[in-house]
Amino acid sequence: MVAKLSHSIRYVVFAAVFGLLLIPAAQGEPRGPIQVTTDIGAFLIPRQFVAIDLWKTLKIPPFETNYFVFRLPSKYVEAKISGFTAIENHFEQEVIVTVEVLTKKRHAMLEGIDSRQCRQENHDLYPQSVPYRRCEYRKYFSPGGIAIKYQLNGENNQQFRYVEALAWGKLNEWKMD
Amino acid sequence: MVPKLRRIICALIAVASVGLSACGTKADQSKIEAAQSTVTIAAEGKTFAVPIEHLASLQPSSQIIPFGSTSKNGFLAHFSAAWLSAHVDGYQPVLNKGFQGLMANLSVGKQIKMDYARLHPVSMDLWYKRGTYENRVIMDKKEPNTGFYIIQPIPYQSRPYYDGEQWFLAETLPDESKPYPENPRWRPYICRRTNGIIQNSKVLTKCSINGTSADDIFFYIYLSSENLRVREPVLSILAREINSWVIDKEANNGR
Repeated sequence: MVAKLSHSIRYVVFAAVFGLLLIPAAQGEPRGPIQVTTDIGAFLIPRQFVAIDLWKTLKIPPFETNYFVFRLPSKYVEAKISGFTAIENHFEQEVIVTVEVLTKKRHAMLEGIDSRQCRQENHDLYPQSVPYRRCEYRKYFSPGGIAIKYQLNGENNQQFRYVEALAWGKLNEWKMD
Repeated sequence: MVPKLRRIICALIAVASVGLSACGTKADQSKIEAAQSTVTIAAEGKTFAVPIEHLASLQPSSQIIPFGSTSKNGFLAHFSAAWLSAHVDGYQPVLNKGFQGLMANLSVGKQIKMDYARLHPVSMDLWYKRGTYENRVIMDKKEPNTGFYIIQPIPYQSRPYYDGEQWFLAETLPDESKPYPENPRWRPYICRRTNGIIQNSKVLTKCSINGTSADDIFFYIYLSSENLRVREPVLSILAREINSWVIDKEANNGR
C-alpha cells in the first residue's frame, strides 16, 4: 500500500515539475504588442493585428527580419471600409498582408510595383463548389522602400485601394522612431 | 518515505535546472549568431554561406525539441511564410491558422545524385497497380483547386480520424497497361493529411515536393495543398536562393 502510494506521489510530483517547466515556455510571453526589427527600424504590432496570435510566433529569436506578415481582422476592415464584407460564402475575409522592407537588390526588382493578378478560385462548400474571384495586389511605398502584398476575394476586390491605404496607415502607425 | 520523496524532488529540480540553463545557453548562442549575417555550413565538399534568417537551428521548434539540422551531406534550411509570400506570386503565407513557412531538406553530393537517379519504387508500384497499391483508386476528375488527379492508395473508407491519411496527386493518370514513363519520369506527389497541432486549426495537408538547385544539390519540401498551384515558382525561387549561398561556384559547375 505504502509502495503504491509512493509510486503515485512520484508520478504526481514528476508531472507537476514537468508542467511547471512547460508552462513558462508556452505562456510566459507577455500578451502585449510584438516588435519586429527591420533594416529601416522597428515596428510595434498590436496583438490584434498579429497574423497568428500564438506564443509560437513570439519565439523566433531574435525577431529581426525584413519580411513579416500581419492581419487586418475582417470585422475591423468591415468597420473601417464601407462596402467591405467580413463574411463571404461562409468564409471569414480577414486580410493577410505581407510586408517586405526592400534590400538594395530587391529594391531594384520591386521599385514602383503596383500590380494586380486575378484568378478564379473555388470554395469547397460540399456538395457544391462555389467559384469566386481572388486577386493578389502588390504595392510599393517609397518612404523607406517597403512593398506589401495582400489578397482579396469576391466583391471585396472593389475596395482594394482602401484596403491598401488602411494597411499602409497601420504600418506608419506602428513604426517606431 | 519522506526522505525518499525529498530525494526525488531534488533530483527533478536539478534536472529541470540543467534543462533551463541549457535553453538559456542556446538562446544566447542564437543572439550571438544573429549579430552575423551568414553562417558557414559545409556539406560534401561544398561550402554554403547561409543567411541567419534561413537557419533551421534558430527556429522555434528547434529551441524546444533540438533536432539535427546539419549532417555530413546536407542541412535543413528554413524559409519563413513572409519570405515565401514576398518572393512568390500567389503564395499564401497563412492558411488554416498556420504560417506556411517551410523547411528545405538539402542533400549534397554524388551519392545523393545517384540515389535521385534511381527509379522510384513507390511510383512504379502505383503505376503498375502492384504491391501495396494493387487496389489503388483513381478519381477520374481533376481536383479543381490544384488541377491534379487524386489517387487513393486504398479504396476510401470513412474513418472518424483522418490523421495520417496518405494519397497521391498526379498531373497524368497511371496506366498499368503501358510502360512506366521514364522520360520525363512519372512521379506523383505524396500528400499527407494531419490534424493541426495549433489550437483551432483545421486539417493540414502537406505534399512532398522535390527540387534541384544544382547538378548535385537536391532538396525536398512539404508544401500545403493550397500552395501547390505555385509549386514551380516556389522550387525555382528556392533553387536560386540556395544556389546563391554556395561560396565556391567552381565546385558548383559555375551555376
